[in-house]
Amino acid sequence: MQILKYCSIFDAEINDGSELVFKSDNKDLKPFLKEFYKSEKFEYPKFYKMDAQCKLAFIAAEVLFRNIDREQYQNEEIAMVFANSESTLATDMTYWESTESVASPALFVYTLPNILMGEIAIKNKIKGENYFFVSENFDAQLLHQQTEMIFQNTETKLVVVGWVNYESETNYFAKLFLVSKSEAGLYPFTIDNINNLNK
Amino acid sequence: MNKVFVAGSNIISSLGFTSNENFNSVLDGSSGLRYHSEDAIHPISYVNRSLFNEQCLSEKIDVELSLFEKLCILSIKDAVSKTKVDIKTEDCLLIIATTKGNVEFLEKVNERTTDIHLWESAKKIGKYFGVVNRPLLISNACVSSVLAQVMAVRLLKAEKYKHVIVCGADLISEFVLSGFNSFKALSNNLCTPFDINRDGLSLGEGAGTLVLTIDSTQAIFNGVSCVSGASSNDANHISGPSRTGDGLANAITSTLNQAKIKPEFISAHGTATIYNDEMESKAINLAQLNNVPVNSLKGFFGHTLGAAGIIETIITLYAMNESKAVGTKGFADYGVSEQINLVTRTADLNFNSFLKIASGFGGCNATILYSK
Repeated sequence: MQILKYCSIFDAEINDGSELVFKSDNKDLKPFLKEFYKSEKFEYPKFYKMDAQCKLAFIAAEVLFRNIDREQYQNEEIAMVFANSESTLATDMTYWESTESVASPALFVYTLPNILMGEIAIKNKIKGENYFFVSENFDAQLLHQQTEMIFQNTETKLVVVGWVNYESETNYFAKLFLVSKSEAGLYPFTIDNINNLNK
Repeated sequence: MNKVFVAGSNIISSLGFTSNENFNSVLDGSSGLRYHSEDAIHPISYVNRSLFNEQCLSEKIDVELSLFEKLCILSIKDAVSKTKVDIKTEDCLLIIATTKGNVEFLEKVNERTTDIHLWESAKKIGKYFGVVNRPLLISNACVSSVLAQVMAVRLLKAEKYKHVIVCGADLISEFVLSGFNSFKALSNNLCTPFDINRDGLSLGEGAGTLVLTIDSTQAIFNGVSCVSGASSNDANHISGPSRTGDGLANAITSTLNQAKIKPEFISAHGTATIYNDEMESKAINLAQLNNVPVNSLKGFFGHTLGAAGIIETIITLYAMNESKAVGTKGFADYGVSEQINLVTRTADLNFNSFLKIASGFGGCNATILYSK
């Protein structure tokens, strides 16, 4: 298992591998991501409908798939293993407050943590395996083990492995890895590398 | 590779506190769904709930934990008590599957507390049993407890553990009720899976636990094994089922390719929403399983969300063991565009393997295969 690519978003910084690709003075996540979205001239109206955590995951995945020859993989050969600690608590609260007037189905759907994988899947045409875990802290061992199990049991060739956690506009973290079953890559996909890259 | 066996199980729903009680009620044709109109339950009066008695649960377990955590603990305790598995060893892993856990805390305090976190529930449940390995928590919409079984069978085959205990549980809360209601996904009556007049789902609540093991001496159900499983994504829509069923068909194909056998029975998701049942009929045809007997158990339990997959798996394990095909309660007139071999009434039927299939928000699908 090899890491082909990795990226991270935290503290109003976007890193593509070890390279800082975007930085903003705007520390709040939503305006900061919007700034990046505009500077990159993305055209994906669904972005505006997403909750903050999905926006965070979506942008991170856009950066992750840059310079990757996506076409060499079948849609069914790409899987996703994601985790976080908040599940969707911030949106749960927003949704719950909305029910005092009219419960919004557009908000309710974002009260499931795996929706962020759904958004990434739609944009990147990913139709393989998908798993979402909730753990107290970043758990490299869990992500590593589940990725290994997917490669061992299915036809999967590529796994998007990620931690996407949104607590508030100033407290958020995304780190993503693109992991290949092949031998060639940037770094071996090991628990140490999962912990140490993207810190 | 190791074979994975079932060592024990439990279901807690309004139909009973053990798998046996639940299965016998299902065989009798009883449904746990009731018409609730009391404001105390929810102002939406037409909702049918599969509600077990809260007081009853508290009487059975005397700990300072939430209703959700008590439900999980009672279910795990009963399932494990029927086995020789020692939950406290390094060889044993606990996986909790749920969509919303303690979300009802939001309704009460309307502020953030640590107790509401899903991982906190997993931690407390693990602590109650004194487990060594940190319990895993999977939250993947309505396929959560099928995915947890998929994980379990893979970990056991790879000998990462000797026993994996999977518990799926969810409660009805105003949070969840209002959400499904906002989607206009709730039926005005008892849900009617695959029926021409189906108009939505009936929510349910409950828990199901399976103790899976590689120790063949502990096998029940005459040595049935959990063979393989898979998941997939539709990559199509975050809240609507696929129009083609190809995502679910992919998960089925992946499961069958790993197992190299064809299922002789299918326990469908069958929520009784217009689009889900239609999608499933297409997926079953795409996977060329249109002649295989299929049922939906939602008319007995309602849609128990994160618990649905495991509760329905356990009922089908019992049914296979007793050579029964459980009928699709609520169904009257065929109402999906593709032909599937729907079991309408409970009848004697020998089958040697079955597939449990499920789909959920986020475009996720999951399938698991058991075989004699």
